[in-house]
Amino acid sequence: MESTEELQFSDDEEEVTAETVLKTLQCAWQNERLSPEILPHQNDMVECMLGQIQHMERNINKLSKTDLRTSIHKMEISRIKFIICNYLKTRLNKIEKYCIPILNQERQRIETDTNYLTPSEYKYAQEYVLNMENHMKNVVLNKMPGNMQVFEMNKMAEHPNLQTHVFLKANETINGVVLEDLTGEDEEIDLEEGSQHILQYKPIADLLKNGKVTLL
Amino acid sequence: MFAEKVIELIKEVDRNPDTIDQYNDEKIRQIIEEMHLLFKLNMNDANATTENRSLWTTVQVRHSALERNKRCILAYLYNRMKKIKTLRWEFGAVLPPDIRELLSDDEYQWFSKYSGNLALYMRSLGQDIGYSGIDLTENLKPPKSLFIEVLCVVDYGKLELEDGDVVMLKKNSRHYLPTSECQTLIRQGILKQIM
Amino acid sequence: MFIEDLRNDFYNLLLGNRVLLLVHYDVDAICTCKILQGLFKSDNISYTLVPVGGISELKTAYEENNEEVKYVVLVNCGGTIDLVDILQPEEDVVFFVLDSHKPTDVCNVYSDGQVRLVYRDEEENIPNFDDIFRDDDEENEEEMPSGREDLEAFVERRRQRREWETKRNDLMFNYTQFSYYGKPSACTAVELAWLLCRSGVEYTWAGCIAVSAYAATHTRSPAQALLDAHALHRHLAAQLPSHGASVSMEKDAFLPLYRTWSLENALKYSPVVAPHLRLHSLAGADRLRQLLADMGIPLQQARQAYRSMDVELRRSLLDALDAAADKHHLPRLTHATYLLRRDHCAPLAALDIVYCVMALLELEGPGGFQLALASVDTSSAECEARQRGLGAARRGLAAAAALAGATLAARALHHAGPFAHFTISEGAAECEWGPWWLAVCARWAGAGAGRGAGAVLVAAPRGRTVLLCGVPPPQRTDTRNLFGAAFEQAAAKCGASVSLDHFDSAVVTLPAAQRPQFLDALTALLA
Repeated sequence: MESTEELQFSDDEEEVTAETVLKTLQCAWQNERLSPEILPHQNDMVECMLGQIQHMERNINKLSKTDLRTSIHKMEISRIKFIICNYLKTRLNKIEKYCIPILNQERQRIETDTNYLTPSEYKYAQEYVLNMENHMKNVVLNKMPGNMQVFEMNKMAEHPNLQTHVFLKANETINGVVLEDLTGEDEEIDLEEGSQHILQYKPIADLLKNGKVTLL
Repeated sequence: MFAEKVIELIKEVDRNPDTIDQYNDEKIRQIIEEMHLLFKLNMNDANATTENRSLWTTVQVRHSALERNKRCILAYLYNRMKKIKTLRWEFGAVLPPDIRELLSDDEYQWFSKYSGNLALYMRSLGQDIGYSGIDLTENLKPPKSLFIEVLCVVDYGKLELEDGDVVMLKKNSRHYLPTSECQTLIRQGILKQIM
Repeated sequence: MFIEDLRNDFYNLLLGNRVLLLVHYDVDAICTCKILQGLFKSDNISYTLVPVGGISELKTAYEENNEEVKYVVLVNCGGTIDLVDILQPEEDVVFFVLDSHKPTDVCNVYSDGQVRLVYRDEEENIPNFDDIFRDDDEENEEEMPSGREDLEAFVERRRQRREWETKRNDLMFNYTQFSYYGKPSACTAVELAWLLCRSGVEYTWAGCIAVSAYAATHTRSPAQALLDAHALHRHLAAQLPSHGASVSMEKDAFLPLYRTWSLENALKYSPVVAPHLRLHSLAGADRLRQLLADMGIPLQQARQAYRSMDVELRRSLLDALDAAADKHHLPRLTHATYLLRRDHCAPLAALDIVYCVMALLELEGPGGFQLALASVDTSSAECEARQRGLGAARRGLAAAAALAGATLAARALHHAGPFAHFTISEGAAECEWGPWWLAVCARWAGAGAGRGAGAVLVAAPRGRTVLLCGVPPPQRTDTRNLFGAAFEQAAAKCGASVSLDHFDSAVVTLPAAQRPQFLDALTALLA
């Protein structure tokens, strides 16, 4: 994907080119789509990319309509927009599906400031659960007899399946990944840089979140 | 037998995974009545069990039936909720009247709240850098080309494009327009893409 | 005005703007439209495509779609009418007209830039500007001459003016007397694609179909057809093998759809062969059998699908046709035409596609236009639109044969002086046909009548109105149609309210009640 190398986004902290941001965003999008649970958010990247899009659109409007570059840039912008929208949408879907466990975990994470959800997402999740609860209560639970009326949060929860297998690629050499076996035997393996594996999601979840592996 | 009616509800929801059926108010009422009945019987028997242990199993069975009813009803509602959610992504915030009929009033209220919540979230996206939100319901498919050829299936009237041009969408007219303009209309069924 | 440089003065102006494409219902227009669509798509030119059947439809289409549109491209429509007058456009709207209907209206030719004709046909004898338009300002001063010299000068001016007017009327009469067809628009479109370095098999094939369309209906004389073919020849020669498809010019039988039919049917329903075999008469079937026997093809083979015929027979078909045609005094049964050869598919003849497209346009009801555009495609091997069109074309040809045969057998072809006419019985399905298929019937009936066939007029009653379609006599050199001007004058004479809505002026509609007096006036006029 050719990018506009001449546009540079300079932050207060570091200088990042648009290309790197796009690559990181693409990686995050891929990971998000393939992992069974919700991953830490990449809101900075998203916002940065949105800013780039604005910049690119302004540039395009300066060019004449028939320039070849216009259509190429427009195509690129629409692809980037699609990636961003799909990324956010995948996250929303996961939030809606696993809303209750995510909220529970998030409450703990907020205290240690390692939240996975952006503030807007968190608000969205809370509203969503509240709506669902109220809906259930109004429609059926309040009409049910006696002690049936409780909205049992845990029973309503859907938990992501962390045991699913995923394809992954190791970005750097990792030693000592512990694989749990059903029989209780633990196996320890090493992952070479650049190697590809099929493993259960659970052991590598942390590695994914640190960026040491990527899902394929 | 207890908890039989509720299975019919589950079957109903499962029968058409893609579409939503009419909200079965009647059945739900019947099941709740059944639950009340069971509960009352149970209350009577539970008070009696302190003396007579043999009734305990009956109470257990009824209690399980009650739990099952509750679980199934909640499953029914939850599944309908999921289907209604997809409606929001497909049709937008305003539902066509024939679909609106299939939802109960409570469900429609939930739909409005969900819609509002979603809109609030979408508006907050990119707020820090001056965007007034991104519409996530657009861009549902990866873009193949900048322009697509479409055939207008119904008389729609005028469509204003981004660059100010006005296109008259009459039935059976063909147009070659930018993809971004056409996406919503294709979803609504007004335009059809020509391969 | 005429455009000299196709690329810079026409195409490059359209880049980056929205275009309104108005396309007529005929083969040439469909082919041109296909080529233009391909070019527009590759340059991301946004367009709106509206098919139009007649002048009133053109007007409606323009009025509905003209908001914010600066460029309108008219394909095979609008050349023969005064566009500015009829459409009343804004000042800055530019019309590009690519029309093979001739004669071009002089107002379009001498428009000062609003109407631009994309192709200049050398065959037209367009009168000079000064001969038809004159500054009339000075003549409107009606001041009474005072004095003798003034009076003489005044009379002299008047005389000159009358002389000029007579000359002008003569010129205009000669110019508009006959209607004919110029170079196919699709050929110009292929040229344009060539100039833009975008030509490919699809465009060349579309051009070939358009040329075959005119050859099939004998609306371009052989000399002209040769010129058209010559223009395409360059593109044929320069083809790169793309997608395993290639167009070649070969000798092929002049029997439409024979590859999709049985040979016997193809002969029976061919507009070239069948009328001369006089199949409507008792001896007709015998003649057909004799013809087949002379070609050396057993009857059983001829009756089965062509594809299932013996390979040897198929190979020797063309020679057999030539020999048999000589022996039976039939017109030439083989001609040079275009075939599309694709890998793993049977070759496709341009002639077949011509009938397929017209069947889709006129016989298949609404939605035919979209199907017709799809059937000109070269990419897909099994094209549903094409199959449908070929089926409809077969039915159409069979029906035309039946109709012509019935007319001749019932001696319903009335000879009225220089032309013959017949009427389709009311309520028959053929009444709903479009003018192209009616013309096929008319030519069929004319050729089958023998006896120095002249021009033929066919009338198709449709409820309260009647559609009249006139075809010129099947001469080889002069393909001009005099019915257009004749209709207009006859209508003026007898006061019939004729609707001259079609772009082809040889097709008119008039109320059924006025038909007899109109025909009388026409006979009187042409006698």
